[in-house]
Order: sequence, then structure tokens, then C-alpha cells
Amino acid sequence: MLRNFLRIFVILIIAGALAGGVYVFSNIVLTQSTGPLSFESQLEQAVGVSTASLNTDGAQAVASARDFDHRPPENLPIWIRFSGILGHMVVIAGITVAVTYIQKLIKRLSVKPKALMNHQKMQKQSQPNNLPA
Amino acid sequence: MIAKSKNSLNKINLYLDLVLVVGFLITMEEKLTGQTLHEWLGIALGASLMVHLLPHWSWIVAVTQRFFRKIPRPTRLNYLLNTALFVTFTLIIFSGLMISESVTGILGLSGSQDPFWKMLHVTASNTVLVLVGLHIALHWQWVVNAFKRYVFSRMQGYFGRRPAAGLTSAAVTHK
Repeated sequence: MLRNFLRIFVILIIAGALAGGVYVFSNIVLTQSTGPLSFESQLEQAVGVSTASLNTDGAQAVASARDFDHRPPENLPIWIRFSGILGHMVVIAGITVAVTYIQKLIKRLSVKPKALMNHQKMQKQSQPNNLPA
Repeated sequence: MIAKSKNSLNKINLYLDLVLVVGFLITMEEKLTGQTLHEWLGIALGASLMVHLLPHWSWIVAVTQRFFRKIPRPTRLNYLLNTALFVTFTLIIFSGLMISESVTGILGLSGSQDPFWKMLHVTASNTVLVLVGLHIALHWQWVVNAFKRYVFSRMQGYFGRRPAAGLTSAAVTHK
């Protein structure tokens, strides 16, 4: 039990070091070069209009666009909610079938046919050094 | 005794892996669960992945020690793939925590607005889907054998023991 806790601790340390590295990388390299871009500033860059200067309708449009990603799932059709899972299952199944087939193919190609092996054996036996006395 | 404990370990492994695959597929689909459940499922998946590593700890240590020496090619490939999976899952969970709203909200924190984290989260998620596919493919033989031994044989035994309906009534009549 204690050993398992220690192992989990080791995993957490490695994962934490990795995450810390990514955080430092994002802070030092990315933020200093481009600066963090909010949704509004990205929109301003794309459209060329300051979001602060928009009227009520415009501001509402920006707000609804920002909330587009956070639509509650109840508002989506049922087939959209389940289609993603099916899509992911198809991807995983496709990769599994393809890799299993390639593995079988490699195995089949690496095995020498029996006739060839027999032929090689006979050739070896017929060499003068291998002839029975 | 050892064979029995190995058997039960394999059975636990199979069930844990099934839970992981189903949990992974549900967590991947944010539209199905909604934002809040997606975040909590992601954290639960991270914890389950750590538990998934524990039974394979001796293999991890042994291959890490011998990685630069002569080891079979499939083992090396497996190790590299598993390392990539670990790194990608760590990136997903960390970037997810960075952009989270519900989980960080409970702790009194607010998620980052930097689009970098969102981009990292989405890219790592798409990558991990392919890596999980490869991981399952490389262990496919084990999955098939474990299913045969622990799921299908049990089902066969269950259905085999039960006599057909006609036979039951005949047996009852005969009695």
C-alpha cells in the first residue's frame, strides 16, 4: 500500500515537472513574444474594429460569439451529442485494425516458406563436407 | 498461488482498462457531458491513469534501466509509445486545468484567457486519440485473450449450465 502511494508520488512529481516546464515555456517564450490575446483582442485584430466602440447589438453579438463554445449540451441535437463518441470509436477501431493487419503481414513475410526451408536443408546436406562417411 | 494472484491481477487490469476506455471516450466528447462534468471527468481520468500505471510498475522500471542496452524492438516501441501517452495526457490535464472554469472556480481561482492553453488542450487531445488507438492495437492480443478468458468463458459457462426451457420442463415432468 505504502509502496503504491510512493509510486503515485513519483508519477505526480514527473508529471508536475513536465507541466512546470510547459508553464515556464509558455510564460517566457510565448507571452514575451506575442503577449496573451483575449477573445476581444483577437476579434479586433481580425475585424479591425475596436470592440469597445460597438453599439449594444454589436456587444451582444461578441458576447454570444464568446459563449459559442460554452453552449449547454441540452441545447444541442441528440445526434450531435453522440456522434463525437462514435467518431472517436471509429478512429480507434480503424487504427487497431490497421496496425493488427500490418503486424500479421510482417509476421507472414518474415516466416520462410516450408518448401524453401526444405530446399536449403537439402542443399546443405548435399555439400561434400556434410556427406555421410 | 502465484498463478491465481496473477489471474486476478489480469482480471482487475481488464476491468480497469475497460473503464478507462469508456471514460476516455465520454470525457473526449465535451458536447455530450457539458463543461463542468467534462472537467471533473478529466481529473478522474487522470487519477485512473495513475492507478493503471501501478500494476505495470516493475515493467516500467525494468525497461527504463535497460532502455539504452539491447532490448527487443517491440518492447522499445511500446515504451516510447507509453512515454508519449504519458506526456500527452499530462499536457491535456494541465492545459485543461489552466482553462478550466468549474474546477478552478471551486478553489477560488480563475482560468487563463490565453488562447495558447486552449490550442494546446485541443491539439494534445487529438494526438492522444491516435496514441490510444496505437496503444490498444499493440496490446490487442492481450485484450482478446483476456476477454476470452474472463468474459466469454464465464458467459459460456453461465449459459452452458442453464438447460434449455424445453428440457427444464421435460425434466420437471419426468420428475
